Amino acid sequence: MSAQFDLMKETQTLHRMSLDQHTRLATTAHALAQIKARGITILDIQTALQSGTIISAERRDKGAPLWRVQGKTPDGAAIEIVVALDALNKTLKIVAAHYANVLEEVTGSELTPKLIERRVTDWASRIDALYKDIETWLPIGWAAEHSQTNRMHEELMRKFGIPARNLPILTLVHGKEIAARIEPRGLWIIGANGRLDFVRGRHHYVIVDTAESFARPNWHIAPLVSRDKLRPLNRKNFVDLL
Amino acid sequence: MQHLARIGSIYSEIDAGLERQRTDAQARGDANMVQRIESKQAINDQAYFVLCWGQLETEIDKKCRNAIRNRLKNGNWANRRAWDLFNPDDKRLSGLSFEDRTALVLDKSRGSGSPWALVMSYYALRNQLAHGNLTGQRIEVPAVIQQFYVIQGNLQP
Repeated sequence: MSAQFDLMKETQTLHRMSLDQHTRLATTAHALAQIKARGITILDIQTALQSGTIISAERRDKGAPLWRVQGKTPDGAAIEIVVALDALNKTLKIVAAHYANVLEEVTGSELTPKLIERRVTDWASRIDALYKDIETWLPIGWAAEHSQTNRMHEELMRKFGIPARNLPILTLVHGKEIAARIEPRGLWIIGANGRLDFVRGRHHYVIVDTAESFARPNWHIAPLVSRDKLRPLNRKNFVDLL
Repeated sequence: MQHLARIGSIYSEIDAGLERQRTDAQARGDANMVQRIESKQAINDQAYFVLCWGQLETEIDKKCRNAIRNRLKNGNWANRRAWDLFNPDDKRLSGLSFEDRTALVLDKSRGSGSPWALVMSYYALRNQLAHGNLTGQRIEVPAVIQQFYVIQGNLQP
């Protein structure tokens, strides 16, 4: 429990150790995979540990503390890191690390143009990957076209002087007829990590990523009129809607 | 949060109506109209978010009063003395701030993504909106409502 710890003193210890060139930074295999998948760099972690704050601490089995640290990366992204201290071996072992979600970004105060750019690039990559998946799910007789785009220039992009970007619209053709389309609607949506719309005739669905920023996408789909009925977006659920 | 589901349902109805107007405008190639409707949708999101927030705030307030009442029943003064500072029947709950009321029913040391952190982030958004600083960002109100139910399930009486 945090009550056993003076968090200010623990934070000073963390800063001292993370600034000491003799301190070793290690990661568990699980954390390494998580960090890679989320595009978090060692520099991000070092920066956050050197200036971040321990918000909670608990004692592990062998008595060494496990700290939960909140800090900022060099480009201003809020990040949370769980780190285990091995004082004997002068090692800080990273157990987990993740970025803040959209809500924390929007209500936070330290966004930077670089972070906004990274988010936009990540959004474009997630859309491309989703479209690729959807194309492999299409039944025989269906085809996909990428000839149209829509313009993304959201409030945070305008605020930080980030230029507009064209994002692809996926048009689905059945036989020779345009039967459906999927278009990006927004990245910074409070309650989701981006939204696309899927329109098939009179049926309108929203596709949202429920993962945290820079995390592996977790796409869900729901009818526009009952958006609380989210289902995972996978081959079966998508084909059912065609 | 007795009205939350109803608020969510009315929100969905209104947003779907605006979405139909937007789709029609887009089909006509009327970009100005699309932009106007999107702006209406963003404002509508924020209005409904504030309504939903009111439901959560009332729930936290109620749970906080119950937590105080339960602990005031403790016969052992050593356990009760800190709670004696608060009057659960006082309209302003003995001057406790919203953050302090929340801290009495949620663990504030659980970090990012915890129910406490979620409440505080949504509280910051609520303050921003309620004090006149509207945002251009959309709010996925049905997703927020789901998170409010998760928060409700974590409140400790």
